[in-house]
Amino acid sequence: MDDASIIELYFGRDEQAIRETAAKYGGLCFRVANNILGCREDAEESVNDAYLAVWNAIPPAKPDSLRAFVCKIARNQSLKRLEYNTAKKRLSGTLVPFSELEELLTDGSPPPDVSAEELGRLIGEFLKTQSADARCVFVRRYWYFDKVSDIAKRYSFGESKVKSLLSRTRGRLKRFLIKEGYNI
Amino acid sequence: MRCGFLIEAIGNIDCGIVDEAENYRPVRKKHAWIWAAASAACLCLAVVMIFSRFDGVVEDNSVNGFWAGTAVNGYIDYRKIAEKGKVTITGELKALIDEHSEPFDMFKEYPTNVFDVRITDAGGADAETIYAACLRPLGLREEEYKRFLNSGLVTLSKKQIYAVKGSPELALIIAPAALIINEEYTKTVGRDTLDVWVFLNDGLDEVRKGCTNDGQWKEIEERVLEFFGKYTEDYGIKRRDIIDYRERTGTFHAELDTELVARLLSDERTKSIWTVTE
Repeated sequence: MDDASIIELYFGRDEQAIRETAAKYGGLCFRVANNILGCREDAEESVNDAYLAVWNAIPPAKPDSLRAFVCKIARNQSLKRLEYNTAKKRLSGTLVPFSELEELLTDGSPPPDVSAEELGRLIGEFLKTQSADARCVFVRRYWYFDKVSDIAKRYSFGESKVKSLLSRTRGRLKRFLIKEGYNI
Repeated sequence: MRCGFLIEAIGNIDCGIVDEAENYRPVRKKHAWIWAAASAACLCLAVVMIFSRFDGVVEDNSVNGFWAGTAVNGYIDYRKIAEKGKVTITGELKALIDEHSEPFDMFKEYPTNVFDVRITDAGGADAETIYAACLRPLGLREEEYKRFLNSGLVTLSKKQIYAVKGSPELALIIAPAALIINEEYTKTVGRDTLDVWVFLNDGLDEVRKGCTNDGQWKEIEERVLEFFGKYTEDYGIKRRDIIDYRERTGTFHAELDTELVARLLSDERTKSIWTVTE
């Protein structure tokens, strides 16, 4: 079923919408959730929570890309659960590359006075100026939390190329954000 | 989690960028690809696949006989593509694409770009012509070729080489047709030839289906690799690279880089037949 038809089902409050969403994007959502949580059971629960959240969000939301919308919700649900698990000291095999992203931060600085939405918009703007290779590798790593080896396989790159693209893009992003006045 | 806000922020990037990363297939610049085609139809698919990934111009109505399966009347010329702008496909090839859009879609999966290529289809050419026109100029000794012809992968009938879909014999066509540089074609159209080629085969998957057991398939796969290894190593492609590529992508396609193409174009042995003209 195409995305527009699934969205119509949501607008009609037809529970088939959830089944169709699960059939079409369940695998992708699970992969993202599992990358974040590193635990099959937790990932499955997160994805189920995400379906409910999508059900509650549409309507009024009418996403242009249902895939990205559903996946984003699954990502957010999984990150929340990861935070909870971490607080409870429930160790997980998360693939979230915290240490890589911390390279972007200035030691000891507090979080910048900017909303996640605004910062996301800026990062999106920055990514649009990058090559498609660099942009997609960045998104695979820090949005989908794919392993470097999986990204290399997906795009037929060497792992060293992926690491190099990531490192350079992080460096450029840091300089971009500083230039924009966000010394994070 | 000091970088938590950053992870959250990245979660808010534009949906279009997120979708792009899911659908993206990189296009490698200035690379030539080696292809195998088991038939004119397969070759046509390969060409269309290449076109579909190409960021140059293709304006060509010369696809007459693409389906005819002979060396002399099926060709497409897309030299100088890389120097130009947006892809334009016209004429009969466009009609073919329109007619067969669904099967062609599968080739969009391949990250492919071509350096500067002309392809001819020699699927139905006889073995002697292929040897004289294609393989001898590239340095293959006649006895080696005969050994291949007698290898069991090849069937000759009335001087024609036949591929039987779904059987190990399909593997044969890749080899004789592998280095398609066809002087007959050149004579026919009255121009110098040509740029690239070697090709390996999508049709091997069909071969595999036709095998009665894994051992049989392994043997065929090994022999194909061995055969191609002789050529490819001469031209700087490592057998290991072919195997890696096979394992990574599930196909036997291998890659020529720009440097290699340049070397082929300047090699004394091949210069005359690899001449690029415009």
